[in-house]
Amino acid sequence: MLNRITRRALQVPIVLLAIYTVTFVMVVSVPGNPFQREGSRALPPMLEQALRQRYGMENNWTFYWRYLGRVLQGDLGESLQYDNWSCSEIIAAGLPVSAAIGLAAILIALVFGTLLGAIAALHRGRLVDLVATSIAVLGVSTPAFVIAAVLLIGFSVTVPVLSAGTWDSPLDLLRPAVALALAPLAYILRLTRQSMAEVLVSDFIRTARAKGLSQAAVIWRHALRNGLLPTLSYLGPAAAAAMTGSFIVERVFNVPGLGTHFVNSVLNRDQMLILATVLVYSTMLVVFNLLVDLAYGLIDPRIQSKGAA
Amino acid sequence: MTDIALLSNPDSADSDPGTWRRVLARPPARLAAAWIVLVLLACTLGSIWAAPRHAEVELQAARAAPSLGEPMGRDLLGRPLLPRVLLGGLISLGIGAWAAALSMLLGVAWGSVAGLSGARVDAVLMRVVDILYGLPYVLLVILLRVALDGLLRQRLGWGHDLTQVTILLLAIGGVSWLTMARVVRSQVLSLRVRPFIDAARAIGLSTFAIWRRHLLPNMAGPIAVYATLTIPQAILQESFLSFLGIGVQPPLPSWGNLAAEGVSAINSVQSFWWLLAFPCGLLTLTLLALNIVGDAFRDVVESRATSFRPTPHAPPAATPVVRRAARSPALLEITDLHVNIWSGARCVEAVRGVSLDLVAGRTLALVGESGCGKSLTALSLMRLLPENTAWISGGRIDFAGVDLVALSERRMREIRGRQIAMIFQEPMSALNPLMSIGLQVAEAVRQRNGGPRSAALRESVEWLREVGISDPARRSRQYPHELSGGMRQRAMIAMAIAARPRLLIADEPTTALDPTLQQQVLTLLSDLQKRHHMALLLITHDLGVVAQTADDVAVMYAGRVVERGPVRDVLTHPRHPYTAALLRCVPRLDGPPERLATIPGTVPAVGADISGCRFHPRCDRVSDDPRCRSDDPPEEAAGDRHRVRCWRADS
Repeated sequence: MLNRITRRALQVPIVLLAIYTVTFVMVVSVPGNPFQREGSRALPPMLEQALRQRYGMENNWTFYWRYLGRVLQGDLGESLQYDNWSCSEIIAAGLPVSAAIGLAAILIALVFGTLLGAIAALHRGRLVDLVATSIAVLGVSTPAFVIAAVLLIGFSVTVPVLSAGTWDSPLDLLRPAVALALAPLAYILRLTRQSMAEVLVSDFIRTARAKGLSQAAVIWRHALRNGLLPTLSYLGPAAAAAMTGSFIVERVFNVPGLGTHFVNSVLNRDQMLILATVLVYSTMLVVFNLLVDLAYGLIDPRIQSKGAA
Repeated sequence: MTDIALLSNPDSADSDPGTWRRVLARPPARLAAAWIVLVLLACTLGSIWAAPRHAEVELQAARAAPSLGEPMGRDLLGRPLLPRVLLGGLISLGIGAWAAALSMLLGVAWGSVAGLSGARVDAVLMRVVDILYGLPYVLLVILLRVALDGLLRQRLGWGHDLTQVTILLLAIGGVSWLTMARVVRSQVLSLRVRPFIDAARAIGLSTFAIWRRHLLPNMAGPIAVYATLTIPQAILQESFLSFLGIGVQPPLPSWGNLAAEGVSAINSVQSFWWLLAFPCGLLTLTLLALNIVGDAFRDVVESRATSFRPTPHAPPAATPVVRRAARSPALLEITDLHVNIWSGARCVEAVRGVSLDLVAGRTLALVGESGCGKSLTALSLMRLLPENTAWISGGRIDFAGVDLVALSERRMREIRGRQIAMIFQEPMSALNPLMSIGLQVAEAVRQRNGGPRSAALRESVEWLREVGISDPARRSRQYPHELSGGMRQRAMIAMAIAARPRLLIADEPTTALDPTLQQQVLTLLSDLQKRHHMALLLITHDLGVVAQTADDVAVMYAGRVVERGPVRDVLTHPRHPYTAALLRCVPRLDGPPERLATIPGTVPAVGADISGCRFHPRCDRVSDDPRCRSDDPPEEAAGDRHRVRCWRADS
């Protein structure tokens, strides 16, 4: 067990290095750079050269190694767009907000998705199943900005406390979280329904019933744990995506989160901020996948022996 | 020997026109498809009319509400919304469809090359996919869009609008192929080891020809299924990008940027609902329709094998049963049991009036070829027939004086495990992979005495010892995958007898084991049966096993018991031609070497329409007696407790 997780943990730096390299190549090959200005505002070549030197970006080669060196020392570099802001400061301001919303969204999606999915699988072809599958298809079909707009209008009118565009009470977290939760909820619901339906007709469930176990014992002790395994592996990427912020939801609700920086950094060719946000996102993704792996090993004994072999 | 059928290309059944007919047979899918067609027609034809009108700014009329003249009202700049929504729809759906097509193309190409190349190229290509997966999706799209913008904007002489639409669809398609590549690669890897690919290689086809003629048609199903997911996904991506202002740039409309204009109008004091409702509503409804059709399509393609149908609640009228004359000494008495199953779209009778009895403490063997209804009969005893596909449609099952067929599910649960226990064929799949052996046996122990879990766990170790598992304390902490096949079946047996049942059903308990273990498990079963005074219903197709372990035997053929009686009588003086034929198929060590006999023909398919005796097409005694072909023979006595169903039992 320790072996498998240790080996996976040791791969993390290699994966992150690969991601850094690929992102770097893409970032510098995109036409345009942060020092370019339109027309008459163009910087004199001398000044551009000086700026490049200041940021350690004389050429791509020095940029790659210097930035890597700084990241290893825990410094994500300076934003080239926002003067006097370091990338670490920008991320430290946005990430907690995005992470809080994302965490809430994932919890909502997980609880309601698995619950509805399991209930639907247990009552296939009945009304509950129809309701659950309708929620699922609505969830994958409704764009995030539509559900966000509905929540924004609906609740601003009926619950005046939740007026639009404020960001100071914990209640403000709720609506963006619900808007962000809808798509993963629908996905988890489908996954759970599908895998529970498969588990419920499997041989070992028949064995459990042949022992005379009650329906509740069969479901809780035998079906659910097996039926939730596919959801678990989806959870890593979903949590990383939700917690590093969604541009759409954050824009509609005026949330000062991290999501906006993903978009703006590319549009502004803010090369260091692009690299910094990607590294933060990828680190979270890799860590969450590692956690999911760990949880998998605890739940499914078959994994451990495979790793030890 | 390779089956010739395996060498020919099975091709895909998914491309047949029946698939779509079955999709459209579902009312929601038909409605959704009608909506898609309507929206497509309106947007394409409407755009011809809308294109010159959509940008007519009329500032005085800004934010005019919908009226008869302008059914969707006007936007912030006074432009009429209807032409903008129509043209926007064409652009949104067009980008979505083309981007999806591009992503399929890239995915199929990348996945095929990875799957058909050597291990090294494959590893590199798939590692690239893995790394791209590790990057934020939207970031990739924006990066690609920005890069393409710099590369293409100046060079394409197509005009601003067409160029930006092209760049956008290239960016979306260029990023969303990753999953497709994985799907296709795993398809190629699993298909390329199939015999028909070897056969194609053997006749000298090039790799490309094999891919085009043999692999691609067989992958059509999964690719089509994936396409139904990709198209709405690509439309969604376009709307996200346009909503953020980095997709389609105004004044060119798309449903995404129209929605963004609507959202920006929310915060005003006044409500301009039409600005939000029309683009958002159309987009959501169209995505919903695409997903509904896609779901139905996936359902039809994937449910080919396992069709799901609810069980008719009232079982078809049960055949009237003659009351039992006196209380018989039998522990179990099955009278005229009928079981129906769904086979494709038809409801067919798989067990056709089986009658059996079993005295406490004795062994009854149920024999017959596969598919004759043995297992369905056994599962009926436990009332564990697969839900929604099989059900008891008539007859009685009297167990210790109680009719199990009429019992409520709650009362039946008290019978299961504690009164009747069952051992299944395949111990690997019949044990819960996530639960230790000890806990699984302990569950059965607690069914009997309900004590604390720790006591049940201690007792389960004793049961494991009882079935001959060495080092039972350690084994009880292990999981099914850590045990050998023989040990798993022993654990299964321990689980079955731990609640001290009066009747043990063993459904081909040795089929999945290798021959040396089969003997051990059988010996164990008869030992345990004697020690614990259980009745044993042993289902098998091995007459050697019958001779060795059973007191009585019942021979089943095509859903009926054709002969039953004491083992000695039936095996030495078989009266039914099927029993006789089965006996001839058993190799003998004591006689002169001879060619092993087989029974010509095969067991008829369940529900096959056969008049007269169901065995007559394969029977060597079928003769001038016209009743063999026209009438079903009744069960007749052929000796003390020996019964047979045959018109020519005496010959």
